[in-house]
Amino acid sequence: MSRVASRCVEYAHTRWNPEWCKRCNICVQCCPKQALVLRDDAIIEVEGCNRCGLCERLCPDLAIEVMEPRTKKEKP
Amino acid sequence: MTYRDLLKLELFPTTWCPGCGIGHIMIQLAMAMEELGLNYTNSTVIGGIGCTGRLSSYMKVDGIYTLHGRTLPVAEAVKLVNPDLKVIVVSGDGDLASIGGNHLLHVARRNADITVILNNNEVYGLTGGQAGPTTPQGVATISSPAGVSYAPLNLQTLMKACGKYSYAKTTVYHQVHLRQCIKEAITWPGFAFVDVTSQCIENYGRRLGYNKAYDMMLQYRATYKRAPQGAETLGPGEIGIVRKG
Amino acid sequence: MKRLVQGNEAIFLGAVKAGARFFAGYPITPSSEILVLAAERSARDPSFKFVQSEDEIAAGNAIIGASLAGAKAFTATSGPGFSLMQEAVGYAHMAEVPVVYVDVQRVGPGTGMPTMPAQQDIMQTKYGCSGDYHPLVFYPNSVEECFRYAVKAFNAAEESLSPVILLSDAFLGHLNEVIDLDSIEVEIVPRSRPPVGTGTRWFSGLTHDDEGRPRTADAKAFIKWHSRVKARSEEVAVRYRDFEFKANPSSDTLIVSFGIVSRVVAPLASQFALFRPICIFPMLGRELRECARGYDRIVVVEGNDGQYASLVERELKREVLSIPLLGGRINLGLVKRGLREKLEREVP
Repeated sequence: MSRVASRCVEYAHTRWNPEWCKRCNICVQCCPKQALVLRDDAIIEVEGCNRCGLCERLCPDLAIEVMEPRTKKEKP
Repeated sequence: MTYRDLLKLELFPTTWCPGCGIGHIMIQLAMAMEELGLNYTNSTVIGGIGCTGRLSSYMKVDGIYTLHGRTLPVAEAVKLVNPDLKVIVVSGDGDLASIGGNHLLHVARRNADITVILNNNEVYGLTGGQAGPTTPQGVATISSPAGVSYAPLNLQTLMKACGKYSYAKTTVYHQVHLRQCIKEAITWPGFAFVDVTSQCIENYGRRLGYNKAYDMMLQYRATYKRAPQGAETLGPGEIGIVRKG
Repeated sequence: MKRLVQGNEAIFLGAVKAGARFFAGYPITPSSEILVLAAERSARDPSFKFVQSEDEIAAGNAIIGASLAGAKAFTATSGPGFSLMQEAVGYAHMAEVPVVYVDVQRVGPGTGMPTMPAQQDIMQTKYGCSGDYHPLVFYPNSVEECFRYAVKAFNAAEESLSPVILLSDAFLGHLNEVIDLDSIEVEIVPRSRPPVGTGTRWFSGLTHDDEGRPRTADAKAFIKWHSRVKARSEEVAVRYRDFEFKANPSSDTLIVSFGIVSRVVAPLASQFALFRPICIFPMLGRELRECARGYDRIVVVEGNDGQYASLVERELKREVLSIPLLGGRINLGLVKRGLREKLEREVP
């Protein structure tokens, strides 16, 4: 799992895998909070994510997931 | 054990186009298999030629990529030789209903105890976007530039012509329903067919005027509704399961 | 116990002796007896699986599925059905699946003469499918050989991990001879590769690497695969290069024939040397060259328009005469007439 994780980009709530992502835009369009954008060939999490998980569920490539909430002991 | 353990993640990213619906089927199938306790010791996935058939290469079970159209005779034989295996066929509309049509007719009629999941994207994607047996009448494709001039195959009617049948209709938008249909099909004792409307944005949807894959999925959300409880036939635009044991 | 056994029946019983437990097929004259025997056996013995497929394409593919699932599997057909199965034969070569295809030949092309014997599928067994492949093909000439070579076909399939073709013909298939099957001793080669349902492999007809991963744009990978299976086929064939040779020092002519024609030609041993390949492919070039030494004329008598003759000529690099026996008419009188014509001398 750590091999997968090292490829990924971690945002405030989501973890995005630039190698598996095909920039198909499904996550951007299905997010009810419009918290994801496709900009400069990258999926970027902007304001508003409520961890609903629709992006993770509707991505056909397992390229984005909602991360487990960090505990107080972890770095922000 | 999660559904991801049933996928060969080391082969990702997958070969399919951005936004292709096959990925959805693969994920829901993996989830369904995990929930049912299926793995490489008790199941096999068989795919036919076409984009969809490649799904069998991404699953962590022994898989077979057959000749075009021949998944069903192969799957029936595997099940006969090893009845303890869950045999799951995942293939496309051309492979199952055109070149494979004769086998669909008879393997269903013989009620072979297998699960057949159809990635019904109404087109021959891999070869560039030709019309297939499920392309709706009037649709223009690169092999039907003036629009398909006859009605598509009615798969529900085909299945219901058999003495025993299990026919499910669903879409890749309705993910929970899709997974439910897959589980019901796998546990059905006999031939179980799951007809999944799915998007081919690159070689089909794009030419029909859809901008992106999700726009096609939104169309599935708008078009398909659950059939009433106890319905014996699914009407146009209805998702559900009809069966006769 | 000695009893009258039919050629088709002997093939079926040989398959069962070899451990076959799956048959899929479509009725077609003159092979249908094999299908019916399989159906009857399956009704008595649930461990023997039988499918009457919707067509030969289904049958040719079903046995591949059965084999991958762990069963020794076979089908039986005739020329037209064998044509329909060609894609499956090629697939079995590419995916390396042991199966046996029985072709009880009849006159063709097309629907031809369903009840008349021929040997017109010789080339089809080697060149019927697209692509290059190196099949093992056997063609017995007696009911006992039908039994023995059915077993050998399964053994060769297991050793070579490839589809083996067992040829017969409308006459041999329906020939009845007295044999004691119980007294025939044979070796059985067991299945070596684990069946599906035990690993995470991917079996496909695409060009692939040693891990089964598709290599559809990699010439090196293709050449590696092709060299490997070709070498394996040749190595296995070493043990199966069966033939019969009756020298005749008083003759200047060697007659080559096989299958049912060789039975008809047999009385000519007093006047000619006789060579009978039982292994049709790979070509017994070495053996032919050795046996043909010392004979001025080589004549191939066969139930087709010179298919094997052309192959013999290629192996011997010398002129080979061809006597075709066409339309199902196979008798000694015709053979002698052909010899008179080709050798331009009297043949009593």
